[in-house]
Amino acid sequence: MKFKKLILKDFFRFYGKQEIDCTVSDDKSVLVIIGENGRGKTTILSAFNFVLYGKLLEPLTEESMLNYRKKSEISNNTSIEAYVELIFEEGGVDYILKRYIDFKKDNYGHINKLTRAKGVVYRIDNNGNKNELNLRAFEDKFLIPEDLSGFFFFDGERINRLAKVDGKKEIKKAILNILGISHIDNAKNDILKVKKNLLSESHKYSNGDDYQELVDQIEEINEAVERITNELIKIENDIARAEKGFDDVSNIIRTSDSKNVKELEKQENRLNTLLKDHKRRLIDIEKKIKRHIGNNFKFYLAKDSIKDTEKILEEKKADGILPSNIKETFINDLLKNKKCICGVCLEAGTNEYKAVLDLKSQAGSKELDNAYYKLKALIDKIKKMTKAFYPILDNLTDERDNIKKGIYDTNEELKAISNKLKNSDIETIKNAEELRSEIRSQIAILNQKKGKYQDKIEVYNKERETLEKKLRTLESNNKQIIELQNKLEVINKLQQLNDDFKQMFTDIVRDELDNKIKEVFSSITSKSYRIPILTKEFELKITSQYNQVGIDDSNKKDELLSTGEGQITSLSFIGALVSYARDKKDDDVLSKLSGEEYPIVMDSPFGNLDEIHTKNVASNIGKLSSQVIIVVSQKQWEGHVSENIISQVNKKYRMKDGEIDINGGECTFIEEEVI
Amino acid sequence: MTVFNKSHKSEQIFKNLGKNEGKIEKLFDSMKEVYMIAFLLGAIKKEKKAIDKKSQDSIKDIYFNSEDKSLMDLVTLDLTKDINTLNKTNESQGYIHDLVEQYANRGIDELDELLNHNHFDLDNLIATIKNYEDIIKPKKASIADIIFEVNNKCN
Repeated sequence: MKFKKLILKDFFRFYGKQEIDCTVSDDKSVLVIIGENGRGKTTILSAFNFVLYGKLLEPLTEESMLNYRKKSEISNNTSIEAYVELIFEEGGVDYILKRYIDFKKDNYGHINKLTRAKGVVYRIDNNGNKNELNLRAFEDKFLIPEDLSGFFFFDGERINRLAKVDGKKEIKKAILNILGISHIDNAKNDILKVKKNLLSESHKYSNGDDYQELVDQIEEINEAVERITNELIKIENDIARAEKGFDDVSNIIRTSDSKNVKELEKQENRLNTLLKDHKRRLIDIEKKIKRHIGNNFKFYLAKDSIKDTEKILEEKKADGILPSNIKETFINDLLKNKKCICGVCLEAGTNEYKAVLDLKSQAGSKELDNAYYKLKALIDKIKKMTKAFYPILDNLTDERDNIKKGIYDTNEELKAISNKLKNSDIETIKNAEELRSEIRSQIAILNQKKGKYQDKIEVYNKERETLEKKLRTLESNNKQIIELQNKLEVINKLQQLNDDFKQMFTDIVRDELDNKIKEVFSSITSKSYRIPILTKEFELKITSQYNQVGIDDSNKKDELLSTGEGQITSLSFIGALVSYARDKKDDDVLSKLSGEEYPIVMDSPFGNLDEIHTKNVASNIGKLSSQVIIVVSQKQWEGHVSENIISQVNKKYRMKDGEIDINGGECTFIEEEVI
Repeated sequence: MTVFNKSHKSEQIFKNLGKNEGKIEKLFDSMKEVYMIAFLLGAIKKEKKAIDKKSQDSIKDIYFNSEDKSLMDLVTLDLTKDINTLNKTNESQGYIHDLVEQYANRGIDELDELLNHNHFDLDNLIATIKNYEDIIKPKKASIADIIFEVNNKCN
């Protein structure tokens, strides 16, 4: 970007249209604007900021932008525009950038701002025609990023600040801003987002159960089941042995010659068969009871629901709605076949067709009719079951009680037979029966034990099933967790790599800027033994070749800088930045600036320099950039500055007071002066 | 596929009462039977309870027979008095389905209470069912109640 012309119209002190031709040449790169205090030197710097970024520098405000004299001149109810226009060249093409604010004087003579600052940009083609461009796209492409603008458009105060400790942050920010590493920063944000998601997902999967603990618990259950199963096998063997023993002993009774014993044995067999039958019947009746409750209790419970529903259904039946006399599907069929059952043709639009169509609205749906019939049948069933449920249940439970009594009685009879056998006169039979009683009790105890062990195994199996289910879930989750951890590891590496890249690029820029600062500084300093350093901490330091000998430059302590030395160090940094931006215009990573030229606009840059430094800065200022615009007071311009800079100056302007108008107040005109 | 949900909290009661597993005899042949009784107990109380956390084991719609479906229709008709709920539209079916789930979810708590949390004893079940006849039977006024009522009116 190279400025060609700056036009100010009714912009603060500048009345009417004031133009500054900014053109410079290769050997005369400096434009000088001279103005005494209060003539609008800072307003010139603000004009550049306004036209480029739409923002005024403090203390100027948009509300007071319209020139005071112009305000008094315009009639009531009239609108007027105050603006700054910049014509510049970039890549061999001319552009016009204009920013403006509309004002209006109301009926009472008050000036009101109608709009906020607006902008417009044109590209000038070879025939001199203006083609409007998208301002936003233009700003992104051609302008120095706003956060870097302070290094290209600045005043003396900023020059002082950069070389001080508090300038460190600004310098670091400038380096990071100049780097085209937005991709790296975007990637960093993406990485952090992904990392956050992965961590939260990983947390979700790993809650609660501990894998090893579950495995141990299952192992413990397996061991317990194995132990109980072994016990169970032992018990079953004991039962089998006891039953065989029982059979052997029973055989003694069975084969007895005694008539009495034979009779008792016969009775016992009959009773045992009866007992088995009772037990079978008990199982059956209990199943019946359960089935009766399971199948029919619900109907009994629904008995109160039928009162209103039956009434509703009866009313619908009385109204002829349910079940419907005519079915919707039947009507649809007639209309589809275009023929009524009486033989009349049903063509669309005919009266007959309409009459049949009307019937459709009265026809009932198949679903409603079906539901009606089902509900009617259900209501009948509920009514029956309401009456029958408890009597059936009572019958069944009575039968169950009888069977239970039968079992009890049969057992009693068997006990009586056993007692008779125990009291037998025949010693062998007596002993055999006593032994049988003992074995019977043993078998009963063993069966009880067997039942308990079987129940235990069942409980363990259930528990194992639950734990295995948990384990399967955890195993599948563990796979997810491992996968997530692998992903996290990759993400961490990426994050590190991303940070390393950023650091590497920052170091490259810092090193290159450091070299350029040294270059610029050596051309303007009077003390050749002084060496500027841009430290790794982004501090601008001046060291001395003759002090702290033997220590690496970057580790040397800062020399105490005079204000002037601080200023030339800052100017060196700014010059280095401009030079860097120009050199790296084609490098996408090391610079996001793509312009060929970067003008510098400086307000009062010679404020605190001594004679030698003033001479040095003045004689080298043109080298800082291909276009340097300096705004100075007459006092700053006179003497060493003027003498040493004049050979680099292409044009010189002076800001002069206009005629003071009693109503309109002060104003400034800009006039070119012969060099 | 349509399913009827149970709450995670009541799943064990349903299992204890009606899931055929292992050698333990259950009081009901299936969880569907338990579900229908629970639904009707909830409907009698006219108390619904939304399912906070669904159990993973729901009951498939196909296990409910035509009479069960009609019972659901009947109870809904009784509550809404609107014959259109019987029209098998998606809307009415969804309404009935949600109603059944919420009544069953309330009713299973009621059944658990009635059984005194004893889920395996047939004698207990029979006693509970027989007592239920008394619970829902309208109470007859005693002579003492009538005298009390008359006295109240005279005063």
